[in-house]
Amino acid sequence: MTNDPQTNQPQGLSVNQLSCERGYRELFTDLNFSLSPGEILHIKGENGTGKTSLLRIIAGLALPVTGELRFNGYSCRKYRSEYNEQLAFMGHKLGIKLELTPVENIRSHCDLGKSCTRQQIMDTLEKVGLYGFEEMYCNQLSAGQKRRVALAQILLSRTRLWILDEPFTSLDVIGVELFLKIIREHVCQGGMVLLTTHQEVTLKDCTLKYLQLPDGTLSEPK
Amino acid sequence: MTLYTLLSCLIEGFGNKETKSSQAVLGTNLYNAFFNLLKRDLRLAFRHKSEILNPLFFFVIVVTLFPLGISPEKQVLAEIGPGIIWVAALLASMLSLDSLFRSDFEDGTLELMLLSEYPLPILILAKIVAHWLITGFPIIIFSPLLGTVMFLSNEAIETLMITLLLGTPILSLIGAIGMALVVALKRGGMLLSLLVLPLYIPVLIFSSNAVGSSMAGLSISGQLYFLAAFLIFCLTLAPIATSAALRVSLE
Repeated sequence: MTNDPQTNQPQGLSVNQLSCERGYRELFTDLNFSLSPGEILHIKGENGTGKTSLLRIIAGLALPVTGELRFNGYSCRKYRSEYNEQLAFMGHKLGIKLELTPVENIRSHCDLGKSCTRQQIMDTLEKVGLYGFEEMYCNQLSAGQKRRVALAQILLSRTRLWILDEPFTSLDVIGVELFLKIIREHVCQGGMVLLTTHQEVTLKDCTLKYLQLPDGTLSEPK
Repeated sequence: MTLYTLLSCLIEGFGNKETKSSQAVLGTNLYNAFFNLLKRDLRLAFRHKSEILNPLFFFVIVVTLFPLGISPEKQVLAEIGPGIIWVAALLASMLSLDSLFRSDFEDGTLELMLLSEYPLPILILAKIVAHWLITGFPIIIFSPLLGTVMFLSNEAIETLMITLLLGTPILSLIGAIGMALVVALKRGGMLLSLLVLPLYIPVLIFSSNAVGSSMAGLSISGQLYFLAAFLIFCLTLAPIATSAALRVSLE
């Protein structure tokens, strides 16, 4: 992990000796890794090895059996509100209300964090390829389009750490490319991304690391 | 629809106060977060009108069944009326609890709410207030009509409305704790009533007693003070208990 040149505080997320159980079965034990600004961590593993559980623990939605999480040197549990300010999460459930339009959905998501103007929402929706769908109810959108609304929410959250659980599900080829481009832009600006996917992620000029579950070995792409 | 416009105008007026100093920014943001969440829930309810109408119809129908089932005589009805109206209000409020967190849990917005930078109890309170406006408030509006059906005196109807005004928010607040505990369960309905109904009992006793006393021309200040104290107690502590329960449920 890199340290801040001015304050000498460690930057980014560090995970120490994390272990997790599901129904008396150990998913992983003694997991250690860190993520610095400008890095992507791709969590790999077969079905049922605890990828989603790990992401939920890191997001603070679940508790680990042992171990601790630190962000910029501070304990994530103790400073929950400050940590949440830096965090954007996209899970299997997208957090989109079907009875609201994309604009209303994004607006109510922004109200929970950093507020944004209507113009920003419109620009972001155009960027994710939903131009012309702003005023349709989300139950009329396809699964991939809903995924794009969630992507717009992540983009507008303007946070540093993105936690993405299977973000490419139901996206088309162009959508995946767009998502990867957005991830790359985010990382180049000093953001951090944690993601799980069964697809191969290839990103130029980005630091990509792999974490293999359940044994927790770190590796770099060859 | 006009009620909704009125409410949203009111909220808009409150929510968009201009920030005077940078210190007040967090306070204003929290204020906005609270009112915008409240507004979102009201908007959702008005797009799903059944959420408003179902508890109300349930309340009206249950109360009107009693004169048919027991006796349409004035004396009998006036005696059991306060209790019946209150039991019906209680059940209507309990049946509508499902709408409080269920849909948010299913589509994942509840998770995002937990990950918000704002204090969760405040956000939860916004949801509870919205739930009360959707389910409790229409019951209060309709209660004079049902009071007349049950041959209550004018003073008793007035007391009924005051007790409902103090009591229905308590029902929403306590119900939220129970609902937060069972939200992740597939069939939590039965468990919810076992958890929540015993806690509703004090409200039921004091409110129906107050209405009965005012029928008899007795003082009701004691009962009203108790209800008001209970309301303040729940208003301060229930959101905290609910958010703790939600964090456990969603794990």
